[in-house]
Amino acid sequence: MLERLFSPSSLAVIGVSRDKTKVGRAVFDNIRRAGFKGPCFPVNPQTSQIEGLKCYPTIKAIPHRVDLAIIVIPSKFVPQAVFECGEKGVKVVIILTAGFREVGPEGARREREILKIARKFKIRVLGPNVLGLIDTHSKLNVSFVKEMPPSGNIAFVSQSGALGTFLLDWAKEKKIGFSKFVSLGNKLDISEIDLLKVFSKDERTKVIAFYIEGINNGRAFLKESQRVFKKKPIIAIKAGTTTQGARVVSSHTGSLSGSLQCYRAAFRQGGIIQAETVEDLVDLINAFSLLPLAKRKEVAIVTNAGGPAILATDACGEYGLPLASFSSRTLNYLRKNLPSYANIYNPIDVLGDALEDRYALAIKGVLQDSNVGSLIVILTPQAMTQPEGTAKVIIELSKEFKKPIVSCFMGGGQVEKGIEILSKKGIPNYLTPERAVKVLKKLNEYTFYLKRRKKEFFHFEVEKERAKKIVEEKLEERILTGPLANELLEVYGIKTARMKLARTLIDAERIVDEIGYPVALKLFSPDILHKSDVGGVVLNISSDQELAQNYYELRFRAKKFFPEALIKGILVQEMVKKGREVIIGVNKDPQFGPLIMFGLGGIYVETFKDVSFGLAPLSLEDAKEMVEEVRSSDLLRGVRGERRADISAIIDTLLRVSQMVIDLPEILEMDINPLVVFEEGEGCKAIDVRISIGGEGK
Amino acid sequence: MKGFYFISTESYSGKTGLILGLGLKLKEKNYLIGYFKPIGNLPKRFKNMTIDEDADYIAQVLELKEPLQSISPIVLTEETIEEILREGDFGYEERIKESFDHISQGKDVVLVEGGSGLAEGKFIKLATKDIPNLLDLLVILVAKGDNLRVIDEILEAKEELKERLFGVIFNYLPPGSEEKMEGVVKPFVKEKGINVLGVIPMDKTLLGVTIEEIVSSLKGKFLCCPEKGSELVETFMVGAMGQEKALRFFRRKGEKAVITGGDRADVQLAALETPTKCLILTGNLHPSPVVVSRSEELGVPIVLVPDDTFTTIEKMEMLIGRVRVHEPQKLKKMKTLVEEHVDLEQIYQAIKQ
Repeated sequence: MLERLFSPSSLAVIGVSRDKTKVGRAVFDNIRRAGFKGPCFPVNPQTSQIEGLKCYPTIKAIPHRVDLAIIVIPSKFVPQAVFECGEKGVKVVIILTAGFREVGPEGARREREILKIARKFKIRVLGPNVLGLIDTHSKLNVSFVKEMPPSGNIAFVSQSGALGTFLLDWAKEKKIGFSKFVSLGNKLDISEIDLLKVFSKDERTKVIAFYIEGINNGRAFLKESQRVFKKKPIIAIKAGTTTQGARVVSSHTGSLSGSLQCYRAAFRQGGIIQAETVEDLVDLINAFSLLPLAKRKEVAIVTNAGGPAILATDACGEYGLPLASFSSRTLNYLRKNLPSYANIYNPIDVLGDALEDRYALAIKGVLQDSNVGSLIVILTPQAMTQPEGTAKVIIELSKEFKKPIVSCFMGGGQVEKGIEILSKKGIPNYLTPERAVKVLKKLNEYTFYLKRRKKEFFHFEVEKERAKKIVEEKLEERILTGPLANELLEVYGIKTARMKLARTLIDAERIVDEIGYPVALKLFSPDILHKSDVGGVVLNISSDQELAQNYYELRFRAKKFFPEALIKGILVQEMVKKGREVIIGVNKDPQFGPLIMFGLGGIYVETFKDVSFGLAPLSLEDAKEMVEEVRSSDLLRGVRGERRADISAIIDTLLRVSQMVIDLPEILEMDINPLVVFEEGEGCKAIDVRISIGGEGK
Repeated sequence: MKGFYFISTESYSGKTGLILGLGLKLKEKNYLIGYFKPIGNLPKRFKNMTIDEDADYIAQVLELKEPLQSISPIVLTEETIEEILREGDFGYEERIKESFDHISQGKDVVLVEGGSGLAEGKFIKLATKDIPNLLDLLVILVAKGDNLRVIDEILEAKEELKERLFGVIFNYLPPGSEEKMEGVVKPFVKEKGINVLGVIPMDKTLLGVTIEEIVSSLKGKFLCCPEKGSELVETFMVGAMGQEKALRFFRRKGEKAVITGGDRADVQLAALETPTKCLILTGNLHPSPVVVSRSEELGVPIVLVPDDTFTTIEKMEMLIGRVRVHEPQKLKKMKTLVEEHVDLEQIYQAIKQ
């Protein structure tokens, strides 16, 4: 049904004015100017004719089927108009009108009313408060964007209308073609998820791009993108990634912006290429729409100047793109064909006096080398340089070899014509080597996503009912920690250090009889968050005397520093043998659900913020990637003669935690800190666990 | 007629609440009940009279017919206290006896509200410990919490009141203290021959304040959902951090008000994602309309107040935490607590005798 949004056979515009400066009229004129083939009926009860066309008092008065209705009347009349659309049998409606939730409760109520009517008549609604929609192939311009962008294969969805107008206007000048453009507005009904579905099936769309401020149903979006990215690349820019930016998103959209970590994890798991800046977005949609994918990561650089080549090489290093090592055949070829003083190793320097033919020789030489995945051609304007001829050479060779080639013609007027030739024939040019390299890196990222193994999800057999009971018991307290939290982990097959609660010293001595020395003593209070920071933990106690002394010391400290805190007692816990400490955390995101964090304990998490994130449910591959992603993961593999830690036990724990937080939606946060990981084959043990539980807002 | 005299080990131990809870319960059981507060200490002016605020409220809740001058014959004010100290007492004993006789006419049971500590009222020769003998009452001692001082007070009361001490009710027992209460404190007290009538846990509902009270005390106004004004706020949190930290912070508490600036849309929305009873926006800074829309959608009132955040916090601290049982939800809660945690059978038996 949503296809009708883009290729309706007939249209009605409700709210067309005789006044050409009014929005309704502008939209009507745009539709006609763009060359929509089917009938387009104006609706306005106050006039009988517009531009010689019969104008209808209501949509119901139109004696013809209407596929798509566009509503551009004051917000208070919109519910009635949608109702009439329903009676008329219209199945898709675009509400361009503003004045809904963004203006306050009255507007929000109107939105709810519209949604109710739409559900009743099974109408799909785009908007309200949108700039509109464009389809270059069906020649549909239902928007107040004056001019259509060139036709092409990029579908762009924007939560900001203004960013859309910028991109479309700019694209026209740069001759970048779009298949579709949609502004989402208040997302009352149609959302990113619906459009992903439509675009994945749209033959004219090769690349799907999003400008996102916030996604209402993150998990559904993630699920859909996991399916769609295998068919075509999805590129997204997320706005509101800083605290200040997030605040603006909130006051703009009325929803939380969502954390950057969460979006990064969602993008990675959903195979979405993230653009960090608008410039990135533009570079990437262009490159993905034009270039083939590389079969391998290795990059070749051909340049006529040393400086830019070094910068390009640096950028390759920075973005993790290896420079290709040429085969001996290629090296012989280059040696034979290039001047003896040219550098034939990567990056190849064809020298400042290189004419187009020397470029042609070098480019051909490297493209035929199977060690080369992609190519950057750098050209700086020098006295003999032939930008136009070189551009033509690149275009010719790009047809011969199906490898991604990006150019970096650096300069202004002198290289202008060369760049024009390149862009006309689909070779993207970047002003700086860094941008060129970044684009190749992102192309490779997409290839990596495509090559990723099919996601494997595990299911562990656990006593779910017992787990639910534990959570319910503490639901009102909103916090689950100590022995009960450990028990919950054990239910999920995660080993924990044995512990029991002592209310008196005699209790403590009895517990020691059971678990044996050495033990740790820990203050147990739901009111004290960081007990080790306040001296609430004593480790390695190995005699009755030490036990007594420290027991009283902890009690005393608690009274002194936290007179108000509820001290439930002192935990007596077994001391586990030494291992490498890691942290596993969970934080439930309102839109995406539980976000799982992993990092190495102590300074690595706290000081270096060296952590990775993944959204539950984690697949085996997600968990592996999370462990590999942290820079300090080398420490787990063993450095300086240390043996390898049991990494598979960490991955197993991550998967079990993932299942736990999916099974138990009451879990809002969790910190396993530390999880002590022993040597390979010996497993791991959770020492301290703190879980926040409870219902979310209404 | 049987009279129960409620006294406590210290102020704000919850006598009024217990009397209301028990009173409602006895009323439900069709007992004819009366209420008497010999010495009022919460003066309020009403129709040219000085009356006791709590007595007035209890009389209304329990639908008592007697005039307030009889229910609470003496109401101490700053001035009357000074006068007594200067001139000597005014023969209060007689007035109390007369009033009590009057209100206990035809009743099955009268709940009498006494003082905090055994000595209160001694300066008018009406110490808490002397009233039971004067009016022939059984004493119910309300003990707050379970600390050592409370135990001392209980033992002292037993020594002073002897057989007149009907029993002790431990009130506001903090969470986590149940085991100590059952395992140590209760056995100890019982062993001294003192009857334990009940142990009532701390209940957050009772510490709450209605949103309407917040609005009137802070001179604020509703931006949405005024119909939710009667809901109770149990605690409050202040938000001035980014959205992620705010979310983690706000999750820690339920049934709360969140105080933040009107310009902090991220904090406001984070609060709305967690169990929040109302948003209090300070400095008369209007929030973004989309936030008001969202709040209304969720049914969470937004209250706009003129004070800055610091002043608002100070005022909220004054409002929350002092238990006053003047809301229907709290009355219902008190009755449930009495039903669930007080040995009512003993009370019924005592009334019979």
